[in-house]
Amino acid sequence: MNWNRIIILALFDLRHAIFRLKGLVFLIPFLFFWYWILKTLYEKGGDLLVSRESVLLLSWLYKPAVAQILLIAHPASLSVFLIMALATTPFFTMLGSSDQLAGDADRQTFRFFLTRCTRTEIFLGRFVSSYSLVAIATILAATVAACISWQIDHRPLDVTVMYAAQVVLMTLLYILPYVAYMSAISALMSSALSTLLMGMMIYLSLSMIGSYLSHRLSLDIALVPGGMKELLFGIHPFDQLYAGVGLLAYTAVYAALGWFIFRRRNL
Amino acid sequence: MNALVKCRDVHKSFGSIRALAGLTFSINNRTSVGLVGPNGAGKTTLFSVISGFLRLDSGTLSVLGHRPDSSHLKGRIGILPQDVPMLQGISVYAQLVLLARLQGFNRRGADQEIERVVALSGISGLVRQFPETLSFGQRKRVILAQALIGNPDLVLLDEPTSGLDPVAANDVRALIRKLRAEHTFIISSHNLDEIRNVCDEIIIIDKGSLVRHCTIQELIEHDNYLTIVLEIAPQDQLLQILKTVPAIVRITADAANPKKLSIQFQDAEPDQVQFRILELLRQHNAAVVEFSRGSAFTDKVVELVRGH
Repeated sequence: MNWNRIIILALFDLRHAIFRLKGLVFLIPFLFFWYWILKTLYEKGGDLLVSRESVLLLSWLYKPAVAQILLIAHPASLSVFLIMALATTPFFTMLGSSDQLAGDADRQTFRFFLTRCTRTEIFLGRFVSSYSLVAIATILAATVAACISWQIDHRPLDVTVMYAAQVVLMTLLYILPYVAYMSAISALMSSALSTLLMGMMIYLSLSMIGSYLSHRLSLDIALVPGGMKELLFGIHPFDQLYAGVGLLAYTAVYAALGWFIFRRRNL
Repeated sequence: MNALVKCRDVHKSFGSIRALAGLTFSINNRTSVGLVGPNGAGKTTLFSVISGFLRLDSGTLSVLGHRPDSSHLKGRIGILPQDVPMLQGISVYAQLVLLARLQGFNRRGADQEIERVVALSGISGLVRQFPETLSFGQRKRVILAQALIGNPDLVLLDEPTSGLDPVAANDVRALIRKLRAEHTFIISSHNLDEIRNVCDEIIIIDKGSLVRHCTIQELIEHDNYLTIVLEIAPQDQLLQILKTVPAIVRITADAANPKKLSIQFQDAEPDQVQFRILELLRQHNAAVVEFSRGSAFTDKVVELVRGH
């Protein structure tokens, strides 16, 4: 495996994704969404977020202890950013990484690459570029959220910066398995749209099956990475570590599946 | 000579369709080979397995001593695939730079290499354009240029001149002839004259099996064939008269060019047969544009494919 070729492929793909449909289909809704959320946060956030009502409201979604940590212990605006980022990651990541392999495999454009690099290099190049696109956009949104938080949460700068770094790290980690998941779907399908629809359908089905099984067996069964979300907030000492390991395990399983399919696919 | 491509009992199926059915042959280094066969014979599939686009179902295939998907082959094979689009919305130059860089050139080296292949392929006016703005023929020449990046040992050309205007097609043939000494070419084409002019050997396949692998010369009969091109297509009456010459075994009018006749004869004095035929044509006011001895290559290939 030649990492230089992987980097060349990833940089080329990333640079051109910004101006092509595969990038714009993610960037436009992503930017609109975060513009609206961050603007609302800036105008109506602040003290409202740390009120008892807000903590109560968040307790419906998460455990009360988690709600307390997110809104009281940490800068609240950044916590809201984190909650929204994690909630929308499946959707936005699916949009941003739906055209990893399917379109070019179907159009046979990979034939120009295949005499120059291995299938593994193409697979990893596309994985890295898709991940980078979503990651860069997320880092930019998180930077704006951190600035807003510093303005309206009235916390010391070092606290805000530290928590912002933690939020970015958690979000970037959470994005990984979804990109890997889409690489597996993309290796199987023949267009970006069919990859997106199939990805969403399988994801929803797995979520519902997981939820049903959890309810029936009274066990925490997470068939999708969404089950790791609450652990990421970390109320117990090792929660974040477990979440990190769990998300990397999901990533490894999905990516291995995608690579296995892509390796055997007729191009 | 070293075998550059060794193919042994290669099978590849798509569902119930057998694209390659036990193909066995080998191609030596620095040899230009024409790959010929009817539509659906398995030519494009063969190119695809050699390039590692498709995986074999069974059999062994070695290219430059490696398996087709080996990382050792990367950058050593150039291919002009049939009807494969380049990336849309990205300039030809940017795409060529990417391909050169993937072959190991640094940025400056890539620029120099592109300058070289662009000059070779005569596409200097096209590199700043987007692929979607180019005509079919222009795109084909651009794709030919990418196949030559990095001086690959083996160059696979799938229908390199189809869709090109006559001048461009001639340029491509001249380019192949020029580069023959440096590369091994495998050229798939339905244009048998082209194969005859630019290749040393021919591989004829049909239904995924080998029909014949030999030198071009082996298929050219020098003594007992005449090729005549008339000013106008001959009528049946003239053909019947020519058939009265006792030595003539067969007269075939070219399907693509009815003015062209291939005459096979059997006689101890071929010159006399030639004079007799010319005399008959003169008597019936059939103006001769071209008259040559030999070259039954096309007939022979067609005969081999039909007889399979």
